[in-house]
Amino acid sequence: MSLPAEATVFAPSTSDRDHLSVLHPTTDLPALRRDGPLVIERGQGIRVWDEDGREYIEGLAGLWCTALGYGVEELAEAAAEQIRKLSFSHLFAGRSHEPAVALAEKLREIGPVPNAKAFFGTSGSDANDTQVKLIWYYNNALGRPEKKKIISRRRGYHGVSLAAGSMTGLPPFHKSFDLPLPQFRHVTCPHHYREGEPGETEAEFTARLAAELDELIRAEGPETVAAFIAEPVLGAGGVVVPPEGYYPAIQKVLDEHDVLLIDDEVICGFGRLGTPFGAEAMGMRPDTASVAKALSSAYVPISAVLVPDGMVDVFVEAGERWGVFGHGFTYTGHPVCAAVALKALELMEERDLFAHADRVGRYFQAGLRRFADHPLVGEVRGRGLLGACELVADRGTREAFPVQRGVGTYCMNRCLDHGVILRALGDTVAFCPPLIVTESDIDEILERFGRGLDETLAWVEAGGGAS
Amino acid sequence: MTELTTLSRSVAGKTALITGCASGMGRATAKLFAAEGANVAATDINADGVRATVAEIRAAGREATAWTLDVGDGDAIRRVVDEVADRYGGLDILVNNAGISRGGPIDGDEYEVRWQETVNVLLTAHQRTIRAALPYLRKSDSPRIVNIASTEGLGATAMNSAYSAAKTGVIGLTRGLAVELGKEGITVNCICPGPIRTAMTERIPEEHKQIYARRRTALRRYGDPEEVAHGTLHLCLPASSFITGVALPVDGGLTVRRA
Ligand SMILES: NC(=O)c1ccc[n+]([C@@H]2O[C@H](COP(=O)([O-])OP(=O)(O)OC[C@H]3O[C@@H](n4cnc5c(N)ncnc54)[C@H](O)[C@@H]3O)[C@@H](O)[C@H]2O)c1
Ligand SMILES: Cc1ncc(COP(=O)(O)O)c(C=O)c1O
Repeated sequence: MSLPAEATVFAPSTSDRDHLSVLHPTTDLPALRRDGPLVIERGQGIRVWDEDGREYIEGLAGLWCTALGYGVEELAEAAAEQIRKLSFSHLFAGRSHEPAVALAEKLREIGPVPNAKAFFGTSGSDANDTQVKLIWYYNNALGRPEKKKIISRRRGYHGVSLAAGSMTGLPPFHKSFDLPLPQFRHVTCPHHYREGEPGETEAEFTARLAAELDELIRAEGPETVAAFIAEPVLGAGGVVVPPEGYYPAIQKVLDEHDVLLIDDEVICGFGRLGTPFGAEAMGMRPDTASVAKALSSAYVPISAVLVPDGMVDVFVEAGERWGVFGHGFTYTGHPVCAAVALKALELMEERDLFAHADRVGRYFQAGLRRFADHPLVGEVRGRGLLGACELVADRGTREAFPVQRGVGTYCMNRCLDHGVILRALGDTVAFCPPLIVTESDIDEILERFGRGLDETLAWVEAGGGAS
Repeated sequence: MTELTTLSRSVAGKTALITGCASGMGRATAKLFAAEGANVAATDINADGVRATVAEIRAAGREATAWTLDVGDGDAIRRVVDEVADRYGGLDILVNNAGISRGGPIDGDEYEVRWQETVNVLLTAHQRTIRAALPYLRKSDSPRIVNIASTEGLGATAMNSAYSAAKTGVIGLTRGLAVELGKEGITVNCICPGPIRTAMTERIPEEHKQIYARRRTALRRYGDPEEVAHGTLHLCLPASSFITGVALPVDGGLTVRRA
């Protein structure tokens, strides 16, 4: 409850109240107890302000999602207009409405899957759970009920719900949650810097990973393996750009064993890598795709699974035998979310935002690479407006800092002090600014980061965090 | 040197005019002073409320009279002060307690109006009651003025700048008059209450009060109006004759707590 202005004296601040009633998602809970939250109050453009009025550049676009930045009037208007006209209607049992249809048409026109229909959800996680269920349903309908296993990569991130969380390849999302479920397998992360063997070239590394996948599918039995899911560039696992030729090599293996490729475009979709979709940038040929986040620039929760017509035809045929296609959410195709997403995509087009992201993305990558010689930086990587610096204890041996030193978190917090919000993924500091950033915004982000990084170096040299 | 024991530690028989007695600290102060044997002139803009306070005091066999008084009205102040002195044959103690809380951002539309209201009730009223009471206080053998300021006069909360300005003003007024009236033996002090359970803080839910108090005060709790009334009483005792010009926090350690 927020109090009227006349009752704020001797009332606790939002951060004071937070711990009593909020269970935070994906959070170091003991650290939160200790330090309290950072309360963000408002946003405009690429900037947000906290409850004390301090300004920050949102260098991570919220959670990799606020592509158009904050305070876009047209999106507020689109929402208000749709709420006034038809605040809710659904797509169950033969119902339909204009906003959902128009958005599906748009995704059919620009999306990474040719001739695709859209199944809407409200989050990346539910989209990826839907992917698994649709593929299971599909293989059941095709009379191959054994073909159910899903392969993903370690350090991949696909969400947290039961299937999505199983596909995610990061320990905190599995440990103690009894995941992954039995149908899920993980292969090596395509990160040459960390996973390459001494002296191994990128091409050799890629060949090794393709062989690993092939061996796994053979060992499991190709008749039991349904799909492989991949983010074009891995996001939350540390912004990992697979080597040139990786996807074509993987694709060959998948084709050979009749395994589908699910393209998780939740971060990479809508211009993030400088192309409309990540698949294009990375040379993927997806069978299905998940989109979310930038789809509405995070103004409202919405996601979509893009499924080719051929697959939907199989569902229709199955319906003759099985009856109702029993999958759907109350908010599938929510008209307000659909109307806002459609407007967001229109604005991206009007502003030629993908081309802009490509242009400033190159500027950003060049700027970020200037930190490659910094004494703390082991690797600078990224593509388009997605980037990262991995901090290491020894640049020569690539030795990482002990986890408990919390070097990445320290650096993230110093950057916060200097007014830029970035994200520490272990000791990798990630960047994902809103697509509307300008070159001078990028200069400012990198300048603020540079100060945080230098302070981190001084702290590391003084033995900070080492017990 | 005078023996301490010869100084009176009682307000019995003194006449005290208190503003804002219908609720909160004003009511608690009126009841405490009456219980200690003072004649209490209880005033408030809320006629029913102040009558209820007086009824309670009388039911306990103590002396009090109710006046309806809007401290924003200068003429009414002079009239009521004269009536009180007339009724009780003088005036020894003045407690400026009546208050309101009108918050809002500096660039808000209502700021100008809120500023005027706030300064009028919280600050201008104080000098007016003091000027009206002065001729009577000068005749008292232990004249006392206590103004209720706030810890918001020592620090500040966002969105409450008019309130904070007025309360800081009360501290300034207190100091100025302490120096000016000191040669006449009139003491002028103020109290800076911290978080107190009164009508003013009623809208803050109990859970939020606890969160606030645990994080910000030394005593880890909100205070009660009676605890402020005791501070006021102490400053009004004849024995408190060498205390003047102070701003006494009654705040559970809010202002001294760092972490
Ligand atoms: N409650 C707190 O936490 C707190 C903290 C610091 C200071 N204060 C101050 O303490 C004083 C007493 O407040 P309280 O907390 O007991 O609040 P309260 O609201 O319980 O009592 C205030 C009283 O003042 C009266 N009043 C308001 N405007 C008036 C006017 N124009 N003329 C005459 N009477 C008027 C009200 O009718 C009410 O009876 C105020 O000066 C307030 O600013 C309160
Ligand atoms: C690639 C990818 N897929 C899926 C998800 C899950 O999305 P959500 O958090 O909306 O469930 C995320 C979220 O960060 C993501 O980055």
